[in-house]
This record gives sequence, structure tokens and C-alpha cells, in this order.
Amino acid sequence: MDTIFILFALICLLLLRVPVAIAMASLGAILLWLKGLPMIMVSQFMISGVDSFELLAVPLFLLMSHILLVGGIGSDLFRAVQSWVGHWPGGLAVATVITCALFAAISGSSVATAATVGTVVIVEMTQRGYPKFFVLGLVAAGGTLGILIPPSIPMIIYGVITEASIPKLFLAGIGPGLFLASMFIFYSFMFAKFNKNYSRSKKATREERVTATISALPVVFIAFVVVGGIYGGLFTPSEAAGVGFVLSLAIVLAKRKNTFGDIHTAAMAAMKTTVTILLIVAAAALFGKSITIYQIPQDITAFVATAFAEPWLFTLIICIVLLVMGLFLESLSMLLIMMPVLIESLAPMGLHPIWFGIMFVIMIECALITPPVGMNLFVVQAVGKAKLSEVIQGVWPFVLIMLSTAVLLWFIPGMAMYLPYM
Amino acid sequence: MKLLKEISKAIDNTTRCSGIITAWMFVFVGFFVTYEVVMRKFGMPTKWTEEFSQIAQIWCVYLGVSFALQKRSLIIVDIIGDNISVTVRKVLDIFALTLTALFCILASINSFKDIGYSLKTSATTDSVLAIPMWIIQISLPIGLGLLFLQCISEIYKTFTGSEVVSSELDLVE
Amino acid sequence: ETTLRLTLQLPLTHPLGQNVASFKEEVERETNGEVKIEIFPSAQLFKDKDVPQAVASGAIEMGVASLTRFVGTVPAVDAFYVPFLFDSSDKIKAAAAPGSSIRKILDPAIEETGAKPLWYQAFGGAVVLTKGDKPIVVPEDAKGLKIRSFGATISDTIEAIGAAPTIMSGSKQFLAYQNGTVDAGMTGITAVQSRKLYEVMDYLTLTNHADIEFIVVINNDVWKALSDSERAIISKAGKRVEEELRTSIINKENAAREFLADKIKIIELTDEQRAVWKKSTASVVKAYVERAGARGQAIVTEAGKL
Ligand code: NA
Ligand code: NA
Repeated sequence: MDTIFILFALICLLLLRVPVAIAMASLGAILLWLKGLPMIMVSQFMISGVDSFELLAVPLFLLMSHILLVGGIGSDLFRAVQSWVGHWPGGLAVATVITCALFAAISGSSVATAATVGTVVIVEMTQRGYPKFFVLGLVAAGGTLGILIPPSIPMIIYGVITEASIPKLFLAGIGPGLFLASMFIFYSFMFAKFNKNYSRSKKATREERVTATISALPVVFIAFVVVGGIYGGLFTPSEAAGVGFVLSLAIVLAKRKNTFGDIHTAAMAAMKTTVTILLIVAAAALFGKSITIYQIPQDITAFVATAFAEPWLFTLIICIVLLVMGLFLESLSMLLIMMPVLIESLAPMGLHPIWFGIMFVIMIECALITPPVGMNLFVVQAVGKAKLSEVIQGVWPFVLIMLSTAVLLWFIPGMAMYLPYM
Repeated sequence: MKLLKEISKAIDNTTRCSGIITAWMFVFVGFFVTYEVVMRKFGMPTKWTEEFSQIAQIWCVYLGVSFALQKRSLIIVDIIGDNISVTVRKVLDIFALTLTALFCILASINSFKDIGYSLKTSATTDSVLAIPMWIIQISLPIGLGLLFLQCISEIYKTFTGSEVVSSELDLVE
Repeated sequence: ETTLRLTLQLPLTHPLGQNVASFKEEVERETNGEVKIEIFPSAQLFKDKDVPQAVASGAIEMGVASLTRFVGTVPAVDAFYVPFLFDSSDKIKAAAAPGSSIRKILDPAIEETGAKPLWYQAFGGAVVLTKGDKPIVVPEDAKGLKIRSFGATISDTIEAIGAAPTIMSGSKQFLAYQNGTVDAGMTGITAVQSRKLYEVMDYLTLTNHADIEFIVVINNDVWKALSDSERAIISKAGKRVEEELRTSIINKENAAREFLADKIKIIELTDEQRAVWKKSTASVVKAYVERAGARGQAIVTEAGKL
């Protein structure tokens, strides 16, 4: 009963155009108050919600992208990619998905992936005639690859809770991650092919390609340092964001085309987006913890774990619960609250913990892009300066793709299990 | 009425300043994080950058939030979109702003309780730096205080219609 | 009827979680359900570092955190991290026992912050993890390396052996070791198993240079509002589970060692090697006393008498 009331209240507030952060924070506070709990929790949760070094990747990668943007370098990379594949149907969209997958390979976070790729590609793609809703949906969905393609923070937490091998989980994520990426590419291709308003770019000449590629070298260099630095153990993803930012600034300043005012503009834009995203993170922490005190996620999980004995029904119900719970909770909370209870049911039902982990992550990805509450929707909206309704319009085909992937994973467990156990 | 307008203008300017401070604080954090990477490469990792960056991030979020409201970039689920009349839109706007202002008051009051407790026990972080806790905690009432004032200014502007209140969709500046 | 909410860092399946669950069971049974204890495991509500303030300020009634998290208000709690200050398992047992000369200094100081210590949870000794082909056996081997640390005093220890400390939380270790962001790390042996660190590290050196303790606290005002009989029941239950964990911790560490035996190379120190460790980390106690003041000095003096 509580669950339905809370869900209803949240959706009402959101429909009444209350900012997402304020809706979640004030509802969280009201819930604490109704239970007669110490309201001092409100301020403590709001602070601890953004007290994280991992989150620092968001402002720093955003700064990096905005600096590259004002320096005209962000589009250099795109122009280069476009000179090679732009004449294909959906060439830029394909490039976007590939960029997301590459970025996912260095970042363990979906939000950081969507924010970074979004800042670079949204303006560029819409300028080239792609419908905005399609671009927004593509970036929101592409960003979720961040937690399926290793490294992945949710997978580490999952491994620690369930005692499943983390390297095996990472390996298991690669197959479905690449499959999803290729499905996104396929969809982009089809979308471009059958979309009448879309005009294909002309095939670039050899000279154009060489020029474009050379001018993209600085970005390639930055990407190389950022990716190589993480794999080489020089720094963590958050630190990589800092290094990437400083490098971008150095390159932009070296080109001597930009004024101090441009840098200031980039800093202001990055700050504004960061604040809107991190405020939701803080508010979601307050809200999520309030309903945890109400024992709502715990009760639902315990119910599911005991009520359904058929493996397929159990898996299906969990997936539905994850989609609904994704409205309230961020992914790590879902893992921490649900998995310790669910893990007991896996072995008796013959469900492999590694396989189930990948299923869980795919459903978390889905929750990230389903309205009304999905972090990636918010990130893309903020970065793309769009309306949420536009993002939603663009994202639903990708939700369908992800759900089909989940279904496919049920029938073909080898998608995930082949790599770790070959 | 003129006084109100002046007050609203003063609030807007304060918010602008805090926005600029926040933006540049993030820039400095970027440099500090890079500095740490370089120093660690030379075997001399600093003891302060990670904690400093984390504290700066908390400060930035709350110092910057009033600026985000002023630019109307706080994220809204605009499913009902443009199908409502200007009056309804205004009423909803004022409802959201009032709720925001109320939340600011509630969170700030409780934040002061928290700070009072930290001062009483002279609590610090558990790191090498031992930063007093209140330095971190006070970011919330200061930031939300500014947000409260900005709400007042926005309510005033919505009533008088002295400024366009539709979401600002272009780049800052 | 009173509900005491309790925030816990570890999952309920962890030995420390089971310890709390056993306490809950006894209290609820003995008070005929008059006192209900509601456990929030896996840091669902508060992160480790936020627990002292959350309990002391009354945001939540009870909490479990690692003892070092109180260093912000009571710097003396780091005594258990001063290398070899308690250099045998008997001495650790004596120092951490309820009413010991050490706890007579620490407990009232923690209580002054507003959070009353109920019982200590033994977590085991600290070990050193290394990756690659050159393990850290003696301090000499650590020269110039970057080592994960989990507190100010542990960092002093790492600096004393000529290495560079990087403080990071328990959950960040896995990626940092895998990526090689740090070359080596210090942690508890049971954490090597539960956090699956053996999947990314090659060597485990049983230095046992420090002792890791967790502590269960209750808000002072909440405690005072309970009836005498309720307080007696809670104290008794706390004491029972404390002893149970303390006596079984050796078995648990041995079980962890057995589990890890074929997964990571375990290195035991000879007496000479241990002596070298002691010698090269002797300076840390000075830094500890400097931070912890009179209380720290008193603890060091009492430790000598154990
Ligand atoms: Na990833
Ligand atoms: Na969602």
C-alpha cells in the first residue's frame, strides 16, 4: 500500500512540473517526517549523497568536453569519423555507438559515459540533420553500455555480494555488451535508411579524409592518454577525467584561437550541467534511503524470493521489479538491497550467479533510460538542452532492444557464459 | 514595488557570483587531480587532493544550485508540455518554487543542528587532514540559503512577468 | 515498544553481521519483543565514515563502524593500528576485552561524543597484499611503492617503511589493485576473502602489524531512555556476542587462510623478519601520541604493562 501511495505521489509531483531533484528530496523528507524519524537525516543524506570521488568524473569529463567544444576540437574527431563513414546510412549514429562502447571500456559509470559522449555528439549530429529525439535516445541508451562493458562498478559490487568471480563477470559482460552495441548500430542503420527527412552526407575525397584525420589527432591523443592511463594503472577514471581536462585545455590554449571568455563559457556550461545532475544524485540518495527505512525494497525482494518457484517466472518478476524499483533507487542501492536476499534463491532454481548478474545489469541499464525517473534521461536532457519528452520519444526503441536482449539472454545463456567459461 | 525589483536584482547578481565561483572551483579541482597524478608518478602522492576534491565537489553542488535555478535548468519532467495555458503554467511554477523554498528551509534548519553537534564535539574527518566537519556541512545551508533567495526572486519575476520564465535552452551567457 | 534501528556496513552473511543478528535475536527474545532491533546491512543507510556522526547526533539509534572511524573525534582510537603496540594475539585480546585498561580510556572518550560503545567486534590482523613477482616480505621490499592505506596511522606506517600511502575505501580496492593504481595494499585477511582481492593480487604477507576492530555504538539519549532491565539485557547480549566473536576470530582467520591457500601465495614472517618490521616502524608511535595527546600517551603506557 505504501509503495503505491509513494509511487503515485512521486509521479504527481513530477507531472506538476516540480524539478526532479526537489520532488524526490521533499517526498523523502515527508516520508521521514511521517514516520516520526529524526529530520537531521535530511541534511546528512543530502551531503553524503554527493560525497564521492567516483562522481568527480562527471564534472571533470563535462569540463573536458566543453573545453574541446569551444576549442572546436570536439567536432574535429567527428568530422574525421564522418569523412570515413559519414556517407553510409546512419554513419554518424554508428560512430556515436562505437564511441559510447569505447568510452564504456574505460568508465564504470553510465552517467559519465552518457554525459561525455553527449556533450560531443548531440550538437554535431543535430546540425547534420539527424532528428533530435533520435540523437538523444541514442546517447541515453549508448551511455548505459558503460556498466555492461567492463570495467563496471555494479559488477564489482555484485561479485562482492554474491561471491561470484569479478573477472568472470567482466568477461561475461563483453558478449551482451557488444551484442547490444551492434543492435544499436543496426537500429541506427535502419532508422537512417527509412527516414525520409534524413539526408546522407556526400562521400569525402581522399584529401578531405586526410585533412580531417590530421586535425583530429589532438583528440585521438587525449583519448589515448585517458584510456591508456587507466589500463596502464597510472590513474583511476575520475583522475583520468582531470588529466583529460588539463590536456584539452593545454591543446585548446596552444591553438591560440580562443579567448579567456570562451574558457569561462565552457566552465559555466559544465558547472550548470554538473549541478543539475549531482543535485538529483543527492536527492535520490535521500529518497532511496527514506523508502529503505520503510522497508519497501526489502519487503518486495523478500516476497519475490519466496513466492515464485519457477525459474522463468522468478526471473521475469525480478526484471519487472527492477524496472519499477528503478524509478526510486539508483543501481547500486538496488544491488545492495536486493541481491543479498535473492542470492539464496538462485542455486535451488538452477540459475547461474554470473548469468543472473548480467541479466541484473541489463535490467539496471533499462531502468536508467525508462521514464519518468532515469538518470541517463536526465543527463542527456541536461547535456542536450532538450525537453525530457524529446528524450523519451527517442529512447523507447532502445528500451525494446534492451528488453529483447534480456529475453535472448534467457534463451541463449551462452551469450554471457561463453567467454568466461570457454 | 521598486524596492522588490531591486531586491530581486540583488539576489540575481549574488547568484551569478556564486555560479562563477562554483564553475572555477571545478576548474581548480581538475588541476589538483592532475597534480596528484603527476606527483604520484614521481612517488610523492599528496595526502590532500582526493579529500580536498571531494569536499570541493559537495560545496560546488550546493553553491551552484541557485544558479541552475536562475537559468531554469533544474531538470523537469515536462510531459504535459505546452498544452497548458500561461496562467496554469504560472501557477504550477509558483507551486514548484514554493515547495523548493520550503525544502530549503527544512534542510537548512536541520543542517544547523548537525553543524551544532559537530562544533560541540569538535568532530573532524577521519583522514590525515582532519578537516573540521562543519566546514563540509555548512555548504548545505549556505547553498540552500541562496537557493531560497533565488526562489523568492523567481516567484517575484513569475508574478510580475518581468522576465521570461520558459526553460533556457541555449548556452550560458 | 521501542525500535532500535542499526546501520551495518557489511552484509548480514558476514561473520560481523551474523554477530549482530545473534545480538538482535537475544535482545528481542529476552525483552519479549518490547525492544525491536531493525538491522540495515550493506551500508544501505550510512557509509562507514558517516556512522559515528549519525549515531551520536541521533539520526539513527545504533550503528556498527570500524573503530578508526571515530578518529575524527577521539584520535586515541588508532591505538590498535600502531604497529606492534599489541604484538601478540593474547595482548590484543587483553587490550580489547570489556573493562580493560585500554578500553577504560577509550570508551568514556567515545561516549562523550554522544555514542556509547556497547561492544567491540574482532576483525583480525592487518596483512600486506602485493601484485607481480616481487612480494613485500620485509620493509625493504616496499621502498618506493604505492600502497593502499585505510587511516592516518596506517599511512604513517607505510611512510615509515619508505613507501607512499594512498588512502582509499575498502570497496575501491578491487579496481585499484586490478588496474595497478597502487602496487600493494594493507587490509584484513578476512577482507581478502570477502572482497575477492585474491582474484587480482598475487602475494599475501601475514605481517599482523595492526589489529582491526569494529565497534557497536548506541546513541546516548536513546540508551538513557531505556529501562534498567532493558539496558541490562542489551549489555548482557552485547557481552555474549563480543566474547563469541573474539574467541572464534582465530578460527575465522584460519578458515580464511585455508580458503586462500590455493588462490594466493601466503607468506609467513620469521621471527627475524618480524623484528625488522618492528624496528622500521618504531617511529609511528611518536606520531600517534602527538595526534592523540594525553589519552594516547596513557594508552601506550598501559600497553607496555599488558
Ligand atoms: Na564500463
Ligand atoms: Na527508470
